Amino acid sequence: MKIANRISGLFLAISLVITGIATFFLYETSKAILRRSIERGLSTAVASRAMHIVTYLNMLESSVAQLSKNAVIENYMKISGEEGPERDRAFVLAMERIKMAKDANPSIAEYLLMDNTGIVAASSRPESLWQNVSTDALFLGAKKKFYIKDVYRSKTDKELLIAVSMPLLDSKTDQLLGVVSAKVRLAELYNIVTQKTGVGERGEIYIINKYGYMITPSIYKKDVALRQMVDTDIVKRARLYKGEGPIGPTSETAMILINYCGFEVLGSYQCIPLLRWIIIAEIDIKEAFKPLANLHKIFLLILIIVPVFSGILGRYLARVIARPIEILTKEAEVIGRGDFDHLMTVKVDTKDEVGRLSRAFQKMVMDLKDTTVSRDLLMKEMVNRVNAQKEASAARRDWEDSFNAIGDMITIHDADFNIIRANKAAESVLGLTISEILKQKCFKSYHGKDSPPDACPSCKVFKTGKNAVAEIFEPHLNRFIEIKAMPRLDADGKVIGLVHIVRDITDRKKAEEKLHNALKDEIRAREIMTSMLDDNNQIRQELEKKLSELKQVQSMLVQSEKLASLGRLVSDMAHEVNNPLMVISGNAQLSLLDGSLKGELKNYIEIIHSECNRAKSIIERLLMFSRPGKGEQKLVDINASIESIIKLLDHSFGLSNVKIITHFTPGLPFVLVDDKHLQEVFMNLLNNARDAMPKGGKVVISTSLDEKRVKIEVRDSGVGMDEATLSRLFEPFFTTKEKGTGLGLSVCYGIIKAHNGELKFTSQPGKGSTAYVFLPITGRG
Amino acid sequence: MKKILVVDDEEMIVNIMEKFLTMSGFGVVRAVGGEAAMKVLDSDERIDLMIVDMRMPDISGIDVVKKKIELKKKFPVLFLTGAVDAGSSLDEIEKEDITENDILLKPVDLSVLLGKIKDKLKIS
Repeated sequence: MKIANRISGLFLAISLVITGIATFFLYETSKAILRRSIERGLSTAVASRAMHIVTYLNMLESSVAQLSKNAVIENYMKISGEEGPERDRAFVLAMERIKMAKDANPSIAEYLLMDNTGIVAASSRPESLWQNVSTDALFLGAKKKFYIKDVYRSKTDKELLIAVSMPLLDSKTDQLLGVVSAKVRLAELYNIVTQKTGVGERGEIYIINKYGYMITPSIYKKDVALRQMVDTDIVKRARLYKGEGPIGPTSETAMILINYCGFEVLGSYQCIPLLRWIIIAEIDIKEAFKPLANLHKIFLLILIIVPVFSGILGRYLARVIARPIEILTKEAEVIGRGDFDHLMTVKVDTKDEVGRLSRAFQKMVMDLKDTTVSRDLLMKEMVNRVNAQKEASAARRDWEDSFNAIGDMITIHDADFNIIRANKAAESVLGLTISEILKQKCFKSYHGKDSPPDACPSCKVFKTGKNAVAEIFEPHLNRFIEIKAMPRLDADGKVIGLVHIVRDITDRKKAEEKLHNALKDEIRAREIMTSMLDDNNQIRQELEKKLSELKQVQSMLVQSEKLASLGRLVSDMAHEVNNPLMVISGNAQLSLLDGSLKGELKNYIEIIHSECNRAKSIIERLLMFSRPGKGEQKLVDINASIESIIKLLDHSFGLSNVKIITHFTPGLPFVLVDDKHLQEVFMNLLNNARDAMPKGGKVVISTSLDEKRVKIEVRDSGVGMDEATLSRLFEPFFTTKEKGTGLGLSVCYGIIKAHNGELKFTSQPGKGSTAYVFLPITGRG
Repeated sequence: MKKILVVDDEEMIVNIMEKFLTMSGFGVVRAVGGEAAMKVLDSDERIDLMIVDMRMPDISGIDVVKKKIELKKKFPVLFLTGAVDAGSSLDEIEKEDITENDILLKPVDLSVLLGKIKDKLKIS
């Protein structure tokens, strides 16, 4: 919503509320004032009427009292019952006196005198004379004191009357002589009451007597006196009053009620306790509040005009305020699109807040323009820098990649032997991470020492400032290394550190060594050739020896291949044989279990069973050759293991005149083997050695470390073997013994093979044989 | 009654086993060949122990045991075989279920077999 609309709407709403409230209060106040003035008028009206009535009654009382105390009247009343001229004279005098009183007070309808028996003894109206009124309240009520007879209708002329009476007493004896009474036409009172002042056109003042009847005429109804009963709210209220005194109080505020004719009036009352009358003044409420109707129209007009004007005013003010803001908004939108060169079309150049805002805005635009230009320059600069940084890091990466690609260990040191940079090769050869390397001094990393070693090329560089080279065997790294150290110089040519290149030359060294040895061999060969040129036999022998060695290796290869296929054959055969064997053995066993076999037959079957078991044990031995299983592997001290077998065999060997000699290398690493299987191997080897020496001799068992294997040698001084025997040595069922099964060495071969070891023989006929067992130190068999 | 699954490609051997085991008071489920054994394993038939040959022409005994492990069947296994094949994949099932002691070589002594069975079924 626009600000202008909001402001004018706000103005309209506020003025509507304020005007509405003000109008309402004004109206209510006017109404209250008007009502109060009407009420005051009504109260005054009833109060003054009541006062008049009371005064009139007082006047009546005093006039009756005068008569009652009149000597002429008293005299007449004393003798009124007698006969005679004196009495007649007194009668005439009394009549005159009464007539005089009547003439003096024309509002009174009749004066009358009654004797103490209730007979009218004198009257201003001759018609009343000698009537008996002894039962009339007029007479009865006044025997002792002043009495007012309430409104009643005259029996003769049907006129409404009220009467006052007073006892007539003997002035000397206070004896009741009669009653003096005065009758008054109510019409006399009407003149006082019904003057229509202060009650408007449709209002009236009327009196309700103690019985609740209206005793005054009505302007709305005819002939209501003593006939119209009035029991409206105002009468009920007035009845609550039980005060004394001539005039009772008016209700403090007048009340709105429905009057006896059924329309709404504002009424006020006044009680007259003496008569127990209620004077009521009522004014028609429509008539009473008629002036308000005009006021009503005026207020409605105000209620319309004021908000309309304030709405217009609000609209105008809003435009005054919002217009410059709108201009600024449009400008801001243009500038927001980046058009800083856009000049403000309408200048808001007032001296108020908006003007200040406008000027600040213009200044901001100028600043923003400047800033944007600077920002663009900055962005360009940043892009340049980022590019430069990218190039730099690419170059750095290139350099690092190259640095790391070099296979030689390269480290860069400072002047205090600290390594400040190292390549990947250094990391892998030193077995340290880059961060670990960078924490160490160079001599710690390379040499495992706490100070530079002798012949340290780095020290030389620091001393001479020139390149230095050294080739050493570094036990810490277990390598031959070539160290090149090159100084790093600062601008003044001062050595600030060095580049340290280490090349692993172990292989080269070994090759050199081999070359060296080969050279040595060659030299020796030449020596032999030159010195023993004539001795062709020896040369041939050498050659033949080499050739035979070569053949031997070849035959070993052939043999191992042959043994492997033999192993497979054995396994297949065992399968094929064991199934029918199972059938045979099973049936034999079932037959035996049956229990019905007896005698010879049982014996035959038992033989079948036991022979099956024998066949089975042969096959099991065979299987040891093809796949001996792993058994229970544990770490075994090979020397102790062999020692325990020797203990077992020593005695029987002694009987065969064979001596066992041991050359154990102490402290050999343990081997992971199944000791039971291994002992079977050595048992076999030793037994074979003994069998090769029927005339006795010695067996030498030696153990040693051969690279990463334990080597066990069993050398006998027996008959030896020829080539043919050697090549078939491990074949199952191959034997040179009369009683041999031909499985012993096959099983040995299988066992050693299963331990990832090696079993081989060297032998020469007549010179004895040597068995070699190699077992790996680590790794599972 | 404990039920024993006997697996062998040689029907006569199955017959012998059935006869012997029945005599010894066991229930026997026959399976001539690896295929038949697989069917028994797939069924809901309760098995308390399996005696299985290792080398069979259709499915090897080791594959039958692998299937048993895969089906999460907990009963123990005894191998009854002519020979342990060199290079067989026994290692794969070794740690799970089978040790070298559970491999019996044919021809087996039936009393030894009975001892092993009772051992496995934990009956005396």
